[in-house]
Amino acid sequence: MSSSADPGTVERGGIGPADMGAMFVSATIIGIAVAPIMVDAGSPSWVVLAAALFAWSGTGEVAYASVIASGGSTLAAFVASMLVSSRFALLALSLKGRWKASLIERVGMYQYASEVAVANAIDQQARIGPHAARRVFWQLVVPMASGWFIGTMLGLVLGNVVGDTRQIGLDVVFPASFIGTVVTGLKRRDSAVAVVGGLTAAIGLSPILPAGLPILVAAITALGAVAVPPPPPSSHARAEP
Amino acid sequence: MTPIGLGLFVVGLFVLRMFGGFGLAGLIGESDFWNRLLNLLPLSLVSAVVATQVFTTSGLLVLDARVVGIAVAIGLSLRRAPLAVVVIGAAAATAATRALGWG
Repeated sequence: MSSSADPGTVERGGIGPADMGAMFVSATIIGIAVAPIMVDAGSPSWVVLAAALFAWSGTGEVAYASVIASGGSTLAAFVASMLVSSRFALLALSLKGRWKASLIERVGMYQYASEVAVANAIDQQARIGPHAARRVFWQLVVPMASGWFIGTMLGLVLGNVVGDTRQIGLDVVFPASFIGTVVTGLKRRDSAVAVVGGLTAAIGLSPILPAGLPILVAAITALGAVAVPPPPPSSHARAEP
Repeated sequence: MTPIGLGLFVVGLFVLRMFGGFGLAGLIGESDFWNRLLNLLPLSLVSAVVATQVFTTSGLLVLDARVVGIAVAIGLSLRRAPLAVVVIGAAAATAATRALGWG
């Protein structure tokens, strides 16, 4: 996500309509990619739509569907999807105290805490302040949630038409949507340790541990990143009054 | 996914998230250490998800056309391309690589 706000928007923070549109488009594409995987695992259309609307976890759906597709039970699929999605608990935790929120808003924040929205909220909180963090969080959540649901509907229709969605590269859409966050993370020494640690742990442990666990272990590498001294405040914090 | 599976999935995810936001968050105090950890945690998670999605298939390390797509995404991101361009560029590069017969 580009953080280059034009001068007029620096104080309020947040992102422009173009970035919100991009988020909508990429969430739509992800929905298109994931829905057919759920259908292949024998899910009725209404179940796929309800899962998209209420559970809000593409990776969780993919994990669930792949266990079912390889002959696993409902319970095994449930456990796998919870393992893969367990990072959402940590993402919700990372929103702790970012801005003052009512109980209802907090439930919404935790329900919709995704990697991109949380990472951008943290970035804007550091550079501009809590209001900007809140703004950018919801500015990302709304197009992501609506795009994801609309994409799921399209995927239910398109799935059978496209056939193998890998042929048109849809399996790379989901990770590609995170690349901006990863690249930005590499620009500071401490966050670069978090990025490289996460990448290495996931690649190294995926062949050994069940799906989902490598991602949890990767979270531990953030501890190593904390040990790296942060850059001086002046380099990343815009002067606050 | 059966209707029972759907119920488990939706409720399970909701409980996980609320546990993270209200439960775990209540257990930790205010300190520099925790603030920095919570700032860096999402980056570790994002990176791990990317690595898993690009380099593995059902728990096996696999090097295939997805790598080409991600390389294109990195190049486009460095040039500050809009997110939609990054995503569509990555998919197109992956599709083209597969059309050429690899991965």
